[in-house]
Amino acid sequence: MSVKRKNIPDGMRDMIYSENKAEKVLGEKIAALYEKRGYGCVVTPALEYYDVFNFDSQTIPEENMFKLTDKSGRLVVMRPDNTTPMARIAATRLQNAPRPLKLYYNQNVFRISKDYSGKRSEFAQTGIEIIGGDSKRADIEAVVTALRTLREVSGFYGGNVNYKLELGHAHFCKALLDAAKLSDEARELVTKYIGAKNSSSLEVMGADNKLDTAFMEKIRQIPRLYGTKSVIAKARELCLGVENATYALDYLEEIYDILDANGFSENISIDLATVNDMDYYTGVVFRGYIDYTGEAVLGGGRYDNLMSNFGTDEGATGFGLNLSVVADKLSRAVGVEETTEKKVLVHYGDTSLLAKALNYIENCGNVAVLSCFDSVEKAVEYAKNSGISKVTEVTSSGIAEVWQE
Amino acid sequence: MIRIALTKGRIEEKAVEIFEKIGFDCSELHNKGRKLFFNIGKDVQVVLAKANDVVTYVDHGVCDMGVVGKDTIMEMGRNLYECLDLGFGKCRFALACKKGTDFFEGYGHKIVASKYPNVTKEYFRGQGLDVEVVKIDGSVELAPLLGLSDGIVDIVETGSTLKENGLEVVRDVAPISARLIVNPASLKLKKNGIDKIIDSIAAVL
Repeated sequence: MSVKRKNIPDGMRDMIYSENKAEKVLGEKIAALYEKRGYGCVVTPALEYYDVFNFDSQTIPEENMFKLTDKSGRLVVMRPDNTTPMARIAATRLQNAPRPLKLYYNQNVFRISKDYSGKRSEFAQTGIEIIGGDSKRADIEAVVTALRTLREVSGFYGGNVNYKLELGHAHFCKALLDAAKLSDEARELVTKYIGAKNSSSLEVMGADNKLDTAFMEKIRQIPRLYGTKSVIAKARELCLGVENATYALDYLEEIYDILDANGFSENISIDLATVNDMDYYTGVVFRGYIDYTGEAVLGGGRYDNLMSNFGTDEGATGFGLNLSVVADKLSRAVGVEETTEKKVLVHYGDTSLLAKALNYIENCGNVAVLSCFDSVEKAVEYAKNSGISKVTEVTSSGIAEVWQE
Repeated sequence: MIRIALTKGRIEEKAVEIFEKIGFDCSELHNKGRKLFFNIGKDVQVVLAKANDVVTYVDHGVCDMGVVGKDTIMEMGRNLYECLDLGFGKCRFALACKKGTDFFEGYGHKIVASKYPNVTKEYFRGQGLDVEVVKIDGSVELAPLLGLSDGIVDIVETGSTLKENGLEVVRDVAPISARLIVNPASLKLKKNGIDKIIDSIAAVL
C-alpha cells in the first residue's frame, strides 16, 4: 500500500471534533455580526483562473499558489485570497448594485507555506469588503468593524485576551521613498529593512550605497515610529517638503481623532513603518494582533487600484481575519469551554420497533445515538467505551433504561 | 511576561554580559543545573536554544525576543523584527574559490557549495547570476578541492582556514553579527516592556 494513502500533504490538516469546533462556532458568530451590519455573504469557487490573481501589485507570490489546469488545459489556481474574487464579483455580476457595496466572506484560502515552518497551507479566512462610497466614511467603518471583530474573538475566549488594531498609511513611506529617487535595488533593501525595523542595517546600507545622509537620517527613524498618536507628530519632522507624506499623516490623524472622539482609541495603536504590500494598498492600512498568536491575524486597508484590474474605477477597503490561526492558537493557549452533553444510546430489540425508537430520539431532549447492534449486551459494551452515559431499550411493552454509568 | 531566547554558547555569554549591564539578575544562568527556564527579572525569562530554534521560537511568538546571529536570520528568512545590532560575534559571509582561479570568468555553468543555500541563492539572484547551489553540511572547503564546486559561500572570520586550504575570498557577501530579534505581535502587544529592554540595551552598546 502506498505510504501516501495514509497521509495528507504538508501544510494540510484534518480537524477532528473539537479541533474544528472553535473555528466553526467563532466563524458563525463573526458572520452573524457582519449580517447584522448589513453585509451580504458571498461564496466564490475554490478554483479560479490564474489570470484573476495575476496583476502587477499582487502580494502573493506566484510560487505560493496551488496551480492546476481545467479541462481545456487553462491554468487555474486554488483560491489564494478572498479580496480579489470579491473585487471580481463587484465589477461583474454586482456592477450595477448600489454603492457602497458591502460584502463579507467566510471561506478557506490556499497558500503554499514553507516546509517545516509550522504554518498551514489551507486556512479559513473571514472578512469584509466595502466597495465604492465615500472613502473616509468607508475607512472608518472598516476600522471599527475590524475592532469589533477582534472584540468578538477576545470575547469568545473569555474576554481576557488582549488585542490591538494598529493603523498606518501606505503612502507615508512610499512618498518618502519616491522623493528620494532611489535605484530599484536600494529601494528594495530600504523597504525590507524598514519592514524588519532594522535601523542598524539601514545605517550600514546607507553608507555602503552612498545614499544621501540627510535622507538616511530620516529613514533610520521610521522603524521606531510606532506606538501612540504622538508618533504622528514625530513623523511630521521627517517629511518636510514631501507633500504626499504629509497628506498621508494628515489623513491618518484625522481618522485617528474621529475614532478617539468616539471612544475607540483604547485598542488602537499606530505604526508608520508600513511598507508591506506598498503597491497594493493605497491609503489607511491596519493590522490586528491578539495574544498568543505570534503574528498579525487580521490585515486590511484601502486598495483603490485593485478594481481597475477588472475594468472599473472605484475605491475599496476591507480586511480579512485568519480564523484558523486564531481558533487554533487561542484554543490551545486559553482553551474553549467544553460543553459535554449527556448522551444516551437508544437500543431497539426488534426491527419493527425502529419507528418507536426514532420517535423517542426526536423527543428525549438529550443527544441520542441510535444503536447499530443486534443485541443489548453489545450496545451496553459500546456505550461503556464511547463516553455514553445511559442505554435505553425500546421494547414492544415500553421504554426502559438498561444501563447507566 | 517577556520571554527571551538566547543562542547557546558564545552568543549566550556575551548576551548575559549585556543583560547584567542593564541590571538583570543572571545568577540562574550562571548556575544552570537541569533547568530549562531562567528568571532574570520580574516577568522576564530566558530560555536557551540552538540558533535555528531561537528564530523558530520567536517566529511563532512562543518567545517574544531572541538573540541570534545574522547568519541564521538570513538563512531562515522569517518575518521578524530585527531591532538591534548587538555588535558582537562579528564575521561575514564571503564567496571563496581556489587561489588563482577567477570565479566570474567565462560563461560556463557555475556550482557553489554552501551550508547556507538560501543565503547563497539570494546573493547570486541579487547579482543577476544564475548559479547552481549544492548544500554541504560539514567542512565546505572540501567541495571545491574535490572538484564538486567552483566556489563556496561560507562564514569567514579571519580567513586563515581558507588560506590553509588554498582558497581565497573573492567577494564579501554580507556582514554578520549578533542581533536582537523581536516577534512582531509581541512588540505590538507588549510594547512598553519590550521597548524598555531594547532601549536599555541600545544605551549600553
